[in-house]
Amino acid sequence: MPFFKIAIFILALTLANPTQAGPLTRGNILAESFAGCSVGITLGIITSLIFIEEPVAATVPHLSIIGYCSIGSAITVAIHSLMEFSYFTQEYFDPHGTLDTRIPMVYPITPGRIY
Amino acid sequence: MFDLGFLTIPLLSMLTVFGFAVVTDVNMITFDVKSVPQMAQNMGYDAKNVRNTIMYKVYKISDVANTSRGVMYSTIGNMQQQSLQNISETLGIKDSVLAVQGVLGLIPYRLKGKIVQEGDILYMVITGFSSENDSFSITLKSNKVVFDSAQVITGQAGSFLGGKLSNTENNPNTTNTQLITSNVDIEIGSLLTRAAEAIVDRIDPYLLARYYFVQESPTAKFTKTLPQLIRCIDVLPKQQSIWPLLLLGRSYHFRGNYTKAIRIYKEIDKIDRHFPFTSLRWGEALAAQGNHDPAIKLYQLAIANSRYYPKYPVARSAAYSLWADSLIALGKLDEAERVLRIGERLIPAGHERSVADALSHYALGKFLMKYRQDYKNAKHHLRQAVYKDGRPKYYKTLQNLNKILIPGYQDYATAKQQQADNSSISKTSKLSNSSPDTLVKPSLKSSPLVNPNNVAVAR
Repeated sequence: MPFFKIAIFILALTLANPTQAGPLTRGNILAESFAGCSVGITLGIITSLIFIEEPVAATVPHLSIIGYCSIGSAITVAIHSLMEFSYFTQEYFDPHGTLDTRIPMVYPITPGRIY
Repeated sequence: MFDLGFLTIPLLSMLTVFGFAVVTDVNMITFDVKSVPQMAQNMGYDAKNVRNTIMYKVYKISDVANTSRGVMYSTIGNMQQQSLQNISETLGIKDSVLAVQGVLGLIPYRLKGKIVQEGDILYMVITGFSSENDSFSITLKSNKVVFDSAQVITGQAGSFLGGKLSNTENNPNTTNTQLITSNVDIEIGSLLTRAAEAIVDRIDPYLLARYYFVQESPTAKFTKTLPQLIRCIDVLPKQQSIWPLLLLGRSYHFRGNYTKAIRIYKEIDKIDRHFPFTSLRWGEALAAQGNHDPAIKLYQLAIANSRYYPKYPVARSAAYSLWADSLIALGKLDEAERVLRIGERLIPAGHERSVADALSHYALGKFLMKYRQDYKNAKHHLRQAVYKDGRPKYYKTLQNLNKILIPGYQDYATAKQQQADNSSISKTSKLSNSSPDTLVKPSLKSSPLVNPNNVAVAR
């Protein structure tokens, strides 16, 4: 199944590389999916409260909590992966790096420096 | 039994909000203080206070530095916001929340620290870890002994208990005792300041250099700035070294060494020929030497290069402002007004858009006030500048305009200013860490090399 292979490759890539920014968080892809799940559930709760009237509710597809969570996760993870891919390619074509510090660096101490 | 089904949605909502907070409300640095000696705790420096003080100082460095480069991923933003931390502490789940955030890769830097006392000396030990598994350790030693025999004051207990020193002669029952004043308070404050600077130095040395630069630019001495800039040039990746080089050039400019400054700008130009700040500052150095025509060409180049770096709108606004200054120096007032009006329009978006906008409004407002006597429009622009970026310099110019416009304003403003000055003097004498605004204002007048406009747009 090539789709799963690609998905696993993207997951490995995003976990292995420091994340620079996602649509919702600055964490890794797990954080992104967690945030997406929260947003999905929130929207699910809101829609269930809005479309509470029976005639309207009948026209709205009802999903379980897990369904809302999964949709939210999937959307944010997809956006996150695209952003990650964009950063990855940027760094590939710009080996000197960007003008801003992005990766969480720890710079070496200057010899003899006393704080 | 009660039916608790109605609680499902509220509970679920709360859990969702909390879950979302876990992944979004993240500090770039978490700092955990393990232990503080009892003596320091007696002075009010418990573990929580120490942690909060260091976090605030780190945030303050970032805030004062206020660099156009931006303070993004690996550095410090919103350090003052600790709402989730406070909630999780109250709920007793702080460690779990931090552990989850760590697993999710949300915390770039995790620091642990402790203050220990060895004899009369205080030490602060900080260990840091990055999400990339880099680690570092910093040990700081108090500058002075915290219990200094030189500061032992001999007195009589009864006199101090009564709060009246002169009462001792009348009280024969008082016993001789020693009251020890210590340096603990001052030393811990100094230790925490140095700790914050050391942390920033290890994770973003340019930010610290910029912080020192802002602090030292009024006196143009740069005793701390220059070594820090050299360090940045040593350790930063090539592309990022343009920022410390630019600041190095600015340091020479502030000292009046324009030739050396231009030499540095030429070096930056070799690294990135589209970096708009290079031509801007190069032009400024030429203008300071009286070469306004070539300076104008460089300002135009800076504006053109701003298209490559739209996220630095300050460079564009400063270029228009300095271009107008050169035109004024050449006596071309109409052209200067036209340039300022163009600069005030179409300010590109960026994290410092309001700063750039304020700069443009200020330059135009000042021009209309000084050269056109168009006070109504000048007031509008100066007010916009104050709204968008409340620098004291902008406010003071607005006050100067009001002095002209409103009869009797001067008397009130003078009294108010006198009061403010007195208060600022007393604050400066009390606090070692004065705000940069209070530091910048008085010295700008005294230093002939420093153009106040430079400080406003110095990056």
